[in-house]
Amino acid sequence: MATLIDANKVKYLCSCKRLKPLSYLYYCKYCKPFTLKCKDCVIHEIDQKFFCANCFDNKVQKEVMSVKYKCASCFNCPVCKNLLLIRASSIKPPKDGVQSPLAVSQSSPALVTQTPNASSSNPATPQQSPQAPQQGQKVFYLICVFCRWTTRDVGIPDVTSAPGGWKLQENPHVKRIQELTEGYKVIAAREKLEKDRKKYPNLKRRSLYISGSSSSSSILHADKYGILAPVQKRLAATASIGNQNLDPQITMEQQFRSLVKPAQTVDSFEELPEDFFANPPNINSITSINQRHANPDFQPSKASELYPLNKFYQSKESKRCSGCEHNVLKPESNVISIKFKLHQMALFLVPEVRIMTIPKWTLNEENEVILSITNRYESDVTVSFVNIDNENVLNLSGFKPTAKIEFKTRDDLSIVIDRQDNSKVQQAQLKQSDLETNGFLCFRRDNKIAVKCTVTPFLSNTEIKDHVKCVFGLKCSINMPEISSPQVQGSTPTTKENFVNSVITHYVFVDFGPLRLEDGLKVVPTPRFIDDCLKASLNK
Amino acid sequence: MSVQITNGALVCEEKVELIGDITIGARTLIHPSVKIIAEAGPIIIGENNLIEEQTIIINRFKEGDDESKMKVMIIGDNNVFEVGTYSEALKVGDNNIFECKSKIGREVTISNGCIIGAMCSLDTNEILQDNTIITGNQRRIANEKPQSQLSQLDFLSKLLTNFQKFKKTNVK
Amino acid sequence: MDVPELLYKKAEFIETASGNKVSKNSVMCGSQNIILQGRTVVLQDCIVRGDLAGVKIGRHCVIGERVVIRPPFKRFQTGVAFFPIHIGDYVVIEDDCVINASMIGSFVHIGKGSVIGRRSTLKDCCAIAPNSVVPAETVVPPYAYYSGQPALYVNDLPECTRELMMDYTEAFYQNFKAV
Repeated sequence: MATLIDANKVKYLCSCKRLKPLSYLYYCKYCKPFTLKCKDCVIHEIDQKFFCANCFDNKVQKEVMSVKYKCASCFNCPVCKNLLLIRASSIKPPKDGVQSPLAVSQSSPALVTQTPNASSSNPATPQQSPQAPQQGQKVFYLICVFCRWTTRDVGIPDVTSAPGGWKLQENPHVKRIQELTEGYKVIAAREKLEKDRKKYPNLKRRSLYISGSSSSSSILHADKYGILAPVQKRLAATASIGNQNLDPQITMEQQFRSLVKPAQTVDSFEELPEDFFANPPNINSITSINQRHANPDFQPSKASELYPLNKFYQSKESKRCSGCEHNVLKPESNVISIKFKLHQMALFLVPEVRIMTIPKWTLNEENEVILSITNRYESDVTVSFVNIDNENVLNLSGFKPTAKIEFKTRDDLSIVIDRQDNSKVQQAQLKQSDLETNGFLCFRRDNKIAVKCTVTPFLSNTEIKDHVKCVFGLKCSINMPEISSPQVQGSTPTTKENFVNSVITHYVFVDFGPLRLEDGLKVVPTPRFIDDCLKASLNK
Repeated sequence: MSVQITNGALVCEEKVELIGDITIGARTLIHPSVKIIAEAGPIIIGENNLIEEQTIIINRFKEGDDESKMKVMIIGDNNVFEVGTYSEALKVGDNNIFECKSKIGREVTISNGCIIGAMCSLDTNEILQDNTIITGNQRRIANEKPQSQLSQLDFLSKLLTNFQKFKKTNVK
Repeated sequence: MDVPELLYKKAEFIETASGNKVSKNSVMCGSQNIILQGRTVVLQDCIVRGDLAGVKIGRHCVIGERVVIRPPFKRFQTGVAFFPIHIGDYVVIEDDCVINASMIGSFVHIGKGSVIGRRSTLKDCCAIAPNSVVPAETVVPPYAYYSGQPALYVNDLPECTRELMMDYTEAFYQNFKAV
């Protein structure tokens, strides 16, 4: 729905001084007073469960790390990044020199279906697999549904068993990289050892001597006070590197050279072919930069070298307040569930302001605008409006107002917005106190009210293409249950919940949209239900 | 100015507009809410075609065209026009698939076995090669013809007779 | 922007017992196979092909103008079959969309003019941008916002999407009044 209210925006000030719409903000109730947090000032934590976005295959972190976070059965098209489907075709041996494949479509690796395709007799389908398939044996290939790219286009042979058919491409440099990493690990171990030698000169020598013997009365084992624990750990780490020779007499360089073959220099290499500059490139056979970067191991430059990309595993995130480190959002552990164990969204605490009408603006004059305020908190909320004049607020976020908003009512007016009551269908009706505001509060239904305010755009001629923007303060008074931290486990909860009345002024930044019709201004007239509401209340 | 529906063709009644001189071949299936308008000349639709909802096939004059000359629009056999296609092409071959919401301009000649992707528009003045696949902003030549929709056609014709009313055929 | 008010002429819409408001000039083929759970609004010129397979639409949905809801088909060994469509609750499908999906979850928002490919699955609480093409058999995970042709993941929706969609669709139904 954030996608449904995009045109004109109402933003609130987050604790990190950024402006965000209310639906994108979280709140932390442990910070006193409660603060609003946005995606950028909250700590993201990845959950332990990982799933593939396509097949919803569950995996734990360790399993996922071993497969490099790639799903083995779901592939993306290297051309358009869309899903690749597995298609089965069983190739009959040629009759009279003409092959007739029976092609089928299939949606998931598990299901295999087949339909005779009467009209196709396609001699162009190549016999790709090295061993000729038996009559009636099914072979599988991948096809992109969107751009119809197939694995047959690049010459990848058809696979005889669908699950696990298309293996990850092996980087030809993997062995060399492994060699280098191992070599450097040894070097790192040696460096650490030397560092430790300098730090604990006496200890190290003694412990080195003793670790050679398997005597149980060694000093290492008789570590009564736990002082030697870090040293023990370090020793264990260094000793575990495959019994390497840590003899200080062999220099590091010599040792490295013995483990790792030196890189070979190349004296000459192939020159660029002449037609590289002469002939125009065939765009269809060259990959685009996006396609190259999608496969960073290989970065194929020719379209014939493209390979299916594995889909990556995703996981849900839980969010933590950066101030007090308490959790702000925690999703359910079930991967498919959309619910949350902890769901502290600012939308459920702070009243939401939305624009209800937009007039055809006249410069430097008061235009009437109706704003609606919805309360999604579990109890009633009292609001009052504050006109912002001072520069401090405006400088807080870099917002430049181009209009002035005024609430034509007495300063101390506070309006109660009821909590949501789903038990009955609500009629729009004003209370007696609302009628006394002289038209300021023009609509009330369930947990929603609408107020009339005046907006005066004061743009100068040079800024006439700007949007009409203004800022005001919304003073909310909410009864929140008292949070006592730290909460001790096992303690009996108090029978009476203490409620604390917290009064906070939220700064609301409203962007009504363009000033002029030519720039895209969309006039929204006053809805009929506002007048109906007034009539209904007067009649009562 | 007549609409000639060959015996065996199934043209749904609901919201289908057939205006002008139109010939519909046998076993062609036209879903509800289709507009076929033959303004600048007759339209001849071949056999075994599948024309889905909200399709507009229109033979109309372009600006600058000589309005006295009538041009015939010929659509071949075994084509599939998916939902929302807009076609003005004068000549369409056989076995083509026009995916949802695609737009074909007047100057293009579609040959055989082409697949025009969803939401693609083709406004060029050219003859498309056989087996071309057009998606997004690229085009490629495929190795094989697209799959035949005959089985779908057969199934649909049986299924729809239960639910839909069809226009009467008048050509044997 | 708050939910707009839409007025319609009483004669143009049928209101059923469970509160569904269906436009009279929308085509509902095979209406015995179409189930609208209640308080759903189907605007003008829609086409719902219940004759091909069952169509089940949840509560408080909003189906825009000229939307085509068409069950997807699948080829089998023995022939071809059309699969039923399930659309969840509180779904907003804007104008001019073509829906060939096999399953649309609840709290989903599909932008104007999109094409949802056949047998695709849109899980709960996702959104599709306007004018995007979701290719066939795609699975759109929860809280994802897909856009483009082909529709690819762009960014996430806020975690309160469920409440926002419930709010929007209920307010839409309340503001959808007969003149």
